[in-house]
Amino acid sequence: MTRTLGLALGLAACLSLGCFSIRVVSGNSVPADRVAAIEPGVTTRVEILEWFGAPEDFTDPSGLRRVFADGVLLPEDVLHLPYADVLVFELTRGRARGVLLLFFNYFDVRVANDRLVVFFDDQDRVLYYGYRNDAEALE
Amino acid sequence: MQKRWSSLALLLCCSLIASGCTIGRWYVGSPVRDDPATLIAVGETRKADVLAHFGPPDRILRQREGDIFLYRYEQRNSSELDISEPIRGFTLFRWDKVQDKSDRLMVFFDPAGIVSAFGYRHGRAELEPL
Repeated sequence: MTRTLGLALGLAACLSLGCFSIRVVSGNSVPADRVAAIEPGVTTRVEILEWFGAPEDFTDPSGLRRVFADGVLLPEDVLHLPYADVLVFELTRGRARGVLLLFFNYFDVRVANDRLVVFFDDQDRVLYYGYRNDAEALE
Repeated sequence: MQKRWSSLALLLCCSLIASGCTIGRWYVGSPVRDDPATLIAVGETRKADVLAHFGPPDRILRQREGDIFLYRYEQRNSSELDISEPIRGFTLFRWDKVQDKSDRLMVFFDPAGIVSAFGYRHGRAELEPL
């Protein structure tokens, strides 16, 4: 009886154990070799768009200036990109790992990204930029 | 007598199976690379320097008086202990603790792109182990 009970409990314990690993990637890769080629004052917006494609996000300070200057909220431009002075390229990576035991569970979730933010001047040339590639560590 | 002990052991095991402890860790973003106090000088440091030292911000707020960069690295520690009655799943005892802390750096620029002020809080240092 005791042996049977022990076996049953052992089997139940084994069936209750498990682990999981989940990986999620969102966005497009930001090629590091291209980032190294960016030269403030030299690289143009056209080159940036050619190298990195369509950005994830952008801002339009010209519209903001109009609002502040005139105090009138104008309709948004249909075509935003020619007026954007900041472009954002981003790849986000998430990783979840965990163990599921009989009486104890542990999980660890990490989310990081590769991100390139490029500022342009009035001449459509790169003014400055910031870059990080922390998503790589989660591969 | 032996049968009674076995039944008791089975009941105890069932009770324990219905109990559980869960520990979770969440990390979102990237750590602030350097100590802002040593690298940022109000009235001197330029936007390009901030971007070079700390990388791209997590958020850019655009204002007439100049941009604001926000850097944030979040960590959440969660611990949970749950003891339930095994037949109906009725919770006998539950203990939860969630700590949500973040390292935050906020840098204010004037219209010329020079740092006009900044604030930094190493919030993750306040996290308790459990």
